[in-house]
Amino acid sequence: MGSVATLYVRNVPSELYAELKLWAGRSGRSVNAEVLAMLEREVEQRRERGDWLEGFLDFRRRVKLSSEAADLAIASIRAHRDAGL
Amino acid sequence: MPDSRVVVDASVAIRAVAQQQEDALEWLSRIAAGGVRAMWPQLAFAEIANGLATLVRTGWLAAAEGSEGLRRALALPIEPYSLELLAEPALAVALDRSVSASDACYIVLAEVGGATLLTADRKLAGATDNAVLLSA
Repeated sequence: MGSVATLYVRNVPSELYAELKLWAGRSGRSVNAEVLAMLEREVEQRRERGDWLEGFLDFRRRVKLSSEAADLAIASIRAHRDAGL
Repeated sequence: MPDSRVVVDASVAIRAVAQQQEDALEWLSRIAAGGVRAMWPQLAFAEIANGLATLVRTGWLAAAEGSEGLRRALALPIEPYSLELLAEPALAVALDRSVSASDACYIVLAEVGGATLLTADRKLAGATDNAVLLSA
């Protein structure tokens, strides 16, 4: 493990802290370890989402779709919806 | 943690791909950053596929680009909701408000989930109070 930092979190609502203790107990971890696991999951999710956005922006740059084309596609979706009326 | 909820219409995903449509792209960026909890009915996948098929058939996109666009839409960080859950309340809303069951799936998800409905479709935006219309 590389260097570590210490993070203090103020103003944690008592209800949230109670839930954290409950989850920690169920998973056999300390509250500290439970919070760390949650932070790691959240960071990983945000990293994946960032990767997704980069890929999407790259796709957008490559296809150079015009507003006119997007309107056409959206109109085709609307036409299918209205077919249900 | 997300501080607000949105239901994303298929039209927003299509619009976000287009040039000079920064509003839709900005929303997707916020969703990707995790600041907004986003949901959509699984129906959105078929609707996006339909929109992409139209773009391929009319020559705006190559077939491979259409497939890639769909793959990217399927990977959007938006929580899909099963039509098995939505169909029954959607039928009730469709009959009550004279909208299609497809429109009603989005409306139900937004209203029951206490979420803002993001759409680039004027008709859908007009069918519920808590909608934001992304227009050109």
